[in-house]
Amino acid sequence: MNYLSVAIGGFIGAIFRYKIGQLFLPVVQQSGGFPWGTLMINLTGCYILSLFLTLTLESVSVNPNIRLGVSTGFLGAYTTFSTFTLESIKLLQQSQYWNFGIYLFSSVFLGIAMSAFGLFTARTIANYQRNKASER
Amino acid sequence: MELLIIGVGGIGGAVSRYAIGKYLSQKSALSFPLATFLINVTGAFFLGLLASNMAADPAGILIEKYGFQVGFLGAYTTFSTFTYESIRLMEDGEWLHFFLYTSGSTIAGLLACALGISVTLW
Repeated sequence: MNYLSVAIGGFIGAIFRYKIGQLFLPVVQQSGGFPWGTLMINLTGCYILSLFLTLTLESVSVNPNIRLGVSTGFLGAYTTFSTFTLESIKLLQQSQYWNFGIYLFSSVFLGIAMSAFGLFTARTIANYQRNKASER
Repeated sequence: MELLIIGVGGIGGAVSRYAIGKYLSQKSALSFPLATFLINVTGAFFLGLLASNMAADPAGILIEKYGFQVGFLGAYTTFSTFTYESIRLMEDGEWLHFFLYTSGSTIAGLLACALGISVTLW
């Protein structure tokens, strides 16, 4: 059952990543090859994973198989590390050193910041619920 | 058609990542997220290897590009878990592990990918 929920999430996550990547293709071409698609996919995925995992760990109870399918399956497959490294190396090969630096920095630092922001959002929601419950 | 192939590759990638993560977490009790680190670095290597060695025939491209590159390796490696584990290390005050994990994954990932690309040039 664990494997089934990871499989279903992985199926949907990979297709989502491809479709959203295609949406960003015109932007990528306009910017001379900056990998906007992967950057946006990874940053949104970082925020949502952190929000979802923290909420379901600390304040909202959800079926463990759904939790696993959404986090390890869907969001794990939606975001990608290998494409991030390949695109970085390609920017280097094309001597786009500025874009290489910006892509690397924004993926790693903003990715971590988005995760921290997701955690913060989840805790804010939990606090709000707790305050509301204690008012009653 | 390519959507189905990507989806099937995604199943293989996500399930492999889950199985490896589960196996390694039973083996070691380290606070350092070794599983995601190894998964991301090996995935970066294989994507570099495949990307520089594209098949010539259209059927091969369909399987190799959509099945293995976008589907399997895209889903096998993960960025969101990497950053989530990083902030958890930070929150636990594991600063050395946080620094080693974030810079180590990035540098080793880039090197592995470059190595994968250059293997086919030899």
